[in-house]
Amino acid sequence: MARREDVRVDGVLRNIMQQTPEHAMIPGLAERAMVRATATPPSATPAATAPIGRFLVAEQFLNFLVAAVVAAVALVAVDQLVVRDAFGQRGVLESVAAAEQNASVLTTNEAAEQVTTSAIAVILVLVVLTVAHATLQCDPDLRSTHWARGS
Amino acid sequence: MGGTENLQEGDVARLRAQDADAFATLVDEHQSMIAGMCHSLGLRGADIEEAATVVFANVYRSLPGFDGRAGLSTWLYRIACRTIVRERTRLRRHQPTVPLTDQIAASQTNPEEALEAAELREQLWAVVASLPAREALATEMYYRRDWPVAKIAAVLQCPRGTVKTLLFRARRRLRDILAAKGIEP
Repeated sequence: MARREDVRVDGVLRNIMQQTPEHAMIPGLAERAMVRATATPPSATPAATAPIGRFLVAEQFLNFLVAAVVAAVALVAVDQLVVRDAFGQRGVLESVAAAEQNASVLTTNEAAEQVTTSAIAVILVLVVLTVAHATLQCDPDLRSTHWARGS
Repeated sequence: MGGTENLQEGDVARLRAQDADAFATLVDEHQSMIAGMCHSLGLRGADIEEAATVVFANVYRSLPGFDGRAGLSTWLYRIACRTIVRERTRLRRHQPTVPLTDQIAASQTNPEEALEAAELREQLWAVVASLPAREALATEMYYRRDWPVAKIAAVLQCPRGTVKTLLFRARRRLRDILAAKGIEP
């Protein structure tokens, strides 16, 4: 039943979409392409044989991996260089670790303090991750490096 | 998938040698399809021309390495798919497109025009452009170009079952538009 309905939908969609006017022929496209090809370095060409889906997944995974590494390094650096000085004693990461170990023997005030510290740590992680991701998205060269690798 | 599947060995050799005339013929044969692929991914006007130029530049540069394992047009469309997806990201970064909701809202301000076929097509294509890249490309190839699933699978380099899944998801979204317009198949 559902299959018959799909066939009918396919028919309607084909009928509508095949009436879409073709794009006008682009004058001098071959010449422009040849000029572009000789002007652009070969490394900018995406590999001709890699499947598009696998490529996109690889691209996203690599973006995530790089973002995670950048975020981790930045987090530790900020924690050590900025937060440690501001708190005077220990960085956020150490504070969170200590809070977990001493959770059962904390007083109310100490618990509140540790919760605040943990919240700062979470916000810090989110900020660093956001900045790292935005940086990757905005840098076309960085994004295209792994496209060029297979060519 | 175009006349280039039946090319003579001499034609292929000329293309491999980046012969300008042979390349111009190749471009003329395939630029409609390339423009259609760009359109299905949401590019319009000058962006289509820009993306098509980059596609054929990549094809031209890759021609010496064409090994003939796939048909020439299949090989060309594979390059086109990846290039257009990448170009779409780049071009959208510079020229943000009108959000789909705004387009639909704008069309609904005039109910009479909203019933016209051209506007319905535009709405369908706007939905297609909002789909993931492979779903949009499969829609272009299957519905507009009437390609069989096997050919689509060859270009997208995935199993036929995957193509059917892509089309199933796209159909589900497009059927909603048809239903909203009162077009019940």
